[in-house]
Amino acid sequence: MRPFILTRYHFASLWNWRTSYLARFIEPVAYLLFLSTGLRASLESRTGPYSEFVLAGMVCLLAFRAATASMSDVANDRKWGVFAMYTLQGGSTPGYIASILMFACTVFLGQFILLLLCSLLAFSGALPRPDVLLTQAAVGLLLVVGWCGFGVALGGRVDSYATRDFVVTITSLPVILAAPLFYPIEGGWLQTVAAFNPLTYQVHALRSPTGPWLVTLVVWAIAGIAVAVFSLRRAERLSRER
Amino acid sequence: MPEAIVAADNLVKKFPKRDRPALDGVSVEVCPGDVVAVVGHNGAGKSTLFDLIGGLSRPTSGLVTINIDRAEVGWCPQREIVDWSLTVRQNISLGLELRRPGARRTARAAVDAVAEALGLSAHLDKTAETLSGGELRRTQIGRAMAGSPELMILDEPTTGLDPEGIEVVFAYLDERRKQGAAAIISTHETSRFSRHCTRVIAISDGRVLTDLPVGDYLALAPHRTEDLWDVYEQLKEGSR
Repeated sequence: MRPFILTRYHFASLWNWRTSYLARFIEPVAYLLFLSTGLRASLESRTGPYSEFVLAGMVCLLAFRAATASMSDVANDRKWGVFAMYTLQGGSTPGYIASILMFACTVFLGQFILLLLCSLLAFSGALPRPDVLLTQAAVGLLLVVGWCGFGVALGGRVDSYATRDFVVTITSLPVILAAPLFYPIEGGWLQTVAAFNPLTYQVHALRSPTGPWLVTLVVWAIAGIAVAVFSLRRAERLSRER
Repeated sequence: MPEAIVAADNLVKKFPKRDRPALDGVSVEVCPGDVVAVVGHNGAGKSTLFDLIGGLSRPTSGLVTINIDRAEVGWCPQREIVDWSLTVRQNISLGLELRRPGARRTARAAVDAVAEALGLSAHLDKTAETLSGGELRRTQIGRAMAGSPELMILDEPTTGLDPEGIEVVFAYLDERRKQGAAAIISTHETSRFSRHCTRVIAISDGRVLTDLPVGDYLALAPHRTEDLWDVYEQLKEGSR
């Protein structure tokens, strides 16, 4: 019951601060409409149907962004006493994490639908088949859960805006660009970097989903939740940040 | 004597890199109808005691027992903790619903009632970021008091309030006490609060100097006074 109550308030927060949260919807649309449309002409001969190639990349981008968003949400909840109230009034740490995950997964589905609509515009109606889209949404949810878990774990450790911004700044572009989300990465030092980037494997799983990959992603999601529970149980309920 | 709602037994709290414990063997009981004033200078251990009773931190040794449902405990820490992205109504309602998960239907009326009592009715739909310091504090107090909990743990609730706001909070506490609720409160409004509390616990350097009914406590002063602080200073002198 309490996780659902808190999820409702996460959405109230999103609505009250909708101008701030709008960036979570504008950013992927901007990547799709500008970056991928620009790359399409030069890459389509190597990637096959670019709309399918890039949609998988966009899902990975959204999943990774869910991690940084969750980190900020948890850091704010610890600063504003929401996490302390939740756990002191009888709520459990896994229940609190469930509220963050429910919120993040719903936002992801909203972003995914928005991306499909924008893809129709950007790729002149060329969308992947409905079964492919459904698979991508389902696999995307697993990715979101895993990434959010790691974001929550960091949010349980971060005690200042400066650290939060630093983590987001140093991870965002390198992680997103050092994986074959928008373009193939073939050879050179970037391929070596990409080999250490989870998004490289996750986007591959999205483009060619197989049984073993799905099992791996379920393990990824469970690992994320486990790390989140471990971190938050040891975190100060109320951070020192003012 | 009625059973204690809260019983803190021999609490010791040590912090790393500090020679002396913040609390050193503190025992406190709060019974229904008690309004307990905790008096002490800055750093005496009041907030540490409130954090332990509220469950925000764990004692190094000793035990805190809460003998009522957690849903009946309203908590307002010293630090300003309000969700800045929510409105006043949502902040108060969130606290109430987390305490009593089935209270959604009755939450609106409960929030309206506490907002009216605390003079927040005109601000209910404003987000916290637009409020003054006093309004933020009253929002936090409202969250602790919404739904009329049996026990209120209020750590310096009057900080940042103007005299009128302080009277509003104290009047509301009086009303709740008459209904049988209990409260444990620290405040620097020591002269006014003597008219509203039933017991006084004086703390210094992490130890309880005295724990007496308010009349007996004030009678310790060599001259007639209503200021809890006058007696506190005398007790502190005597303990040296």
